[in-house]
Amino acid sequence: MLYKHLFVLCCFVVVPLSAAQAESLRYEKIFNQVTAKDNRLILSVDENGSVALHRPLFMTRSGDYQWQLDAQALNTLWSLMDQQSLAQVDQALLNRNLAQLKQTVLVSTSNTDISYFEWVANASTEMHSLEVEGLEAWAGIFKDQSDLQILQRIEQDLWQWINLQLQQEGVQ
Amino acid sequence: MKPMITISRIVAFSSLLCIPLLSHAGAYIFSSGTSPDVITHPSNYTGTGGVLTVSVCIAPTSESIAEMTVSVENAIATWNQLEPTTGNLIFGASNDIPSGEIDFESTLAHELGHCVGLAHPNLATESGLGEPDRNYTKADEGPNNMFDLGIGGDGVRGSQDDIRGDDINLHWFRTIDNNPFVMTGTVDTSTYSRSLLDLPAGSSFAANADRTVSTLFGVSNTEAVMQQGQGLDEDQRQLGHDDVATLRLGMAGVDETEGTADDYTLNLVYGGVASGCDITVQVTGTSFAFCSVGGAGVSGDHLRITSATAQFGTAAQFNWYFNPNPSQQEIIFEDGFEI
Repeated sequence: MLYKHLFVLCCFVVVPLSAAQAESLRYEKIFNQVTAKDNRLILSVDENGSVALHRPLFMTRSGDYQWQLDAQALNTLWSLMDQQSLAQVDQALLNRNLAQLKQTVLVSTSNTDISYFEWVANASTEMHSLEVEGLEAWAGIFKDQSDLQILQRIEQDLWQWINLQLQQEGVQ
Repeated sequence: MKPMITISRIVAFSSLLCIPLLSHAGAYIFSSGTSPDVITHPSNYTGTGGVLTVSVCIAPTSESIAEMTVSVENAIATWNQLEPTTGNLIFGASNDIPSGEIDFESTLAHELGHCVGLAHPNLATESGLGEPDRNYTKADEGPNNMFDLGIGGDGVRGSQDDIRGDDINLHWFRTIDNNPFVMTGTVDTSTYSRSLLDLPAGSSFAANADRTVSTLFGVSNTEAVMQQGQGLDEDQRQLGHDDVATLRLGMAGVDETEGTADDYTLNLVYGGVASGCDITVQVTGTSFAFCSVGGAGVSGDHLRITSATAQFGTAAQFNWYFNPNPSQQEIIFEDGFEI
């Protein structure tokens, strides 16, 4: 079914961030097991609070969304990102730790979804990124691995935030 | 104060290309380049023959319990029946799945295969390769630490003429003809092998049961359930020959010889909504679908599953189609009574 809808609501408030608060976020979840050409959830938020969300067709509320956050909503989002904890996660170390853990026990998972986090921290221009394949599965197996638990919690918070945003605007 | 939000919603048509992934017996979880001959058995197998009972429950904390129950029972029956089929890919108007939705039962059938020890017969996403190279037959990279991917003269990835260099084959194949779309007679290591030295004339690598490979063997719309990849509006609820042969090879027991005392038959039993089963199925979280397993040794290269959890993303997030129609197959409940 081919359809396009464009809804523009009036009465928005835009509060531009100061130059010192250069924060942005890109989060992706790539569902590798789905053979559709479009198989990823993409969320991006820029330093001005402009949000873009893409949900592939096999997800509920599929489509592309754009909306604007005010300063309060933006700060709420940044707090969910828990940048202090995120900044402590080193990709190379995470990969090594995960590889070592897999050597210690005979476990396996077929979870090949990729969770990707990319952000520019507050008062910084440096971009950070982290990527984990099978995050939810490995976090469930290695419950004492703190980096996995941090990323899992942030991912869950982001999904809840997305749900709340869509619900607030009546997207069913 | 509630933030004031402007939303512009753009819902665009997504041109869904259900990209086709480009029996025999397939591959097993825990097999690798250093342990290529590993055969992984379902839970509770200790090397003793007989009926191997493996319980399957829906977690009490799962979402969509009522909606998923029929699919769970159907998928259990499918694996118990072990009936190999061709033409097991049913698309569009030929199935009961609405456009834009993903069949839960087909996805569950795939994950249950992992939960009883089967791996993908293709390289799949765990190889790190992109499409369509994921369609090549499952193997280890070998001594040169890279996948050697020669498509061969037929231009089909995963077929019998692929040129794979020093890649270590992990896919068990039928030695008489390297055909993953048939299965006759004995299924054990007298008729199936992993060694490329046992390939029939004309083959350079093990063929996997990918849908594009099927056309080379004169069958259409056929693919192993264990091939990685679930398409939208696609019914793949029935097993292929490769799926059945992989399980039957394991069922030949640790001596890998069919017809001896250590042979077993798999009997999945539905334990209802409960905890403590060998395989737990739950709908929760943000991942599409997976099965996580633990393992332990049985004997030599033989391992068994010790714990298995099959997890599927919530229906609030994913457009699951939950099949409401019980299959006509026999379903055995844990109390021993049939429906």
